[in-house]
Amino acid sequence: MNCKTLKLHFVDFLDGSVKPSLKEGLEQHISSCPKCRQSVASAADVSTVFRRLPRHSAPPQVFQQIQKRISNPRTAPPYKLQLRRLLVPVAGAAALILALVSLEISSPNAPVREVVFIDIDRDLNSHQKELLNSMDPFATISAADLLGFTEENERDTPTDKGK
Amino acid sequence: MSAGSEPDHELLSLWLSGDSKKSEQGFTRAYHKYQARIMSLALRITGDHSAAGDVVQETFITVFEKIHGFRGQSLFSSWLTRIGINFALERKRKDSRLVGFFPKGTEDEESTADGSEIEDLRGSSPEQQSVDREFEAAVQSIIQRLSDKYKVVVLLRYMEELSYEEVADVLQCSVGTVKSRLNRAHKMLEGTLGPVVEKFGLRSQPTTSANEL
Repeated sequence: MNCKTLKLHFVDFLDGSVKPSLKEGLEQHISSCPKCRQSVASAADVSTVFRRLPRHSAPPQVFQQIQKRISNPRTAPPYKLQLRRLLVPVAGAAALILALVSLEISSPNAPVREVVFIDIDRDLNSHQKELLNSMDPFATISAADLLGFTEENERDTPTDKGK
Repeated sequence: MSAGSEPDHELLSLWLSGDSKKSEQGFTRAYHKYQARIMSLALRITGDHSAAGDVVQETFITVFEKIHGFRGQSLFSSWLTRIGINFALERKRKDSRLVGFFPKGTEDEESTADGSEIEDLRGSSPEQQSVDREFEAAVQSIIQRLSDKYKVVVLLRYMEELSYEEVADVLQCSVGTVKSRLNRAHKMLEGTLGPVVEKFGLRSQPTTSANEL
């Protein structure tokens, strides 16, 4: 018997569930090995202390609250739990927004955005204007076509309409 | 027969009888049988009386809502305990993220404020209660050093005095895993509880035999 054998059967030894022959051998080893003796004594302390820990009973209002929630399922869960559930996402979102705004303001390379007004009536003939204003979903010409925004290669792309 | 000693199958047959009055009785008895287990485990995991009370509430509401889906693949007590442990671990994680926002009160403030009771202290003298609270605080500070995986196994095995098979049933793992975690937990706790045992006079005899453990 050696330290390794005890390590292998440690929990069963503590529990007293090892075979008598093995138990005898382990006990002999423990009596001659200070390190293993210390481990067994310490394990005994763990067992003693945890078994001695007092049991707690829930306060009476917990059961009252449960009965209330069972009879009225829409009753809110414990206040603290609910509040704390909300706090993290709200605080996180606020921090993210602040960070993004400060980045946008402080960045020296932030692109300057210009607002361009387009006069859509410019260069359109009366038929084109009529088509644009008709909102006809089956019109064969799109607003983009009318305004000349569609690239040549896009126009050539085969579509389902042609099939 | 008191609720504490009533077999689970009797509680469940009452609870699931279909009769609303009997059903309420069954649930109430199950609550009184297991609330202290869930409260004590939740308290050791979260370290907070108020949080432990919330965990008890959420556990029994969940059990009430899901009881018809309980298929008996594990023991009712294991199923309920597993739900309670999961709520307690979830609550601990959430509270630890919020520690910076809401500094926690001291343990004494919490326990007097929420009205929870130490079952074993009922009727004992104020001096004894004081000593026991000191003992509890000393052990709690050591428990918190263990990671959850090991803490839960130690609590179920030694505080709740469940067998290895029952611990495995609660945690949905093998008996070998339970023993291995317990072995590791003993290693982690080695030497830490000796001073507590000495201070509170818990040592009986020097032990080298498993029979004395």
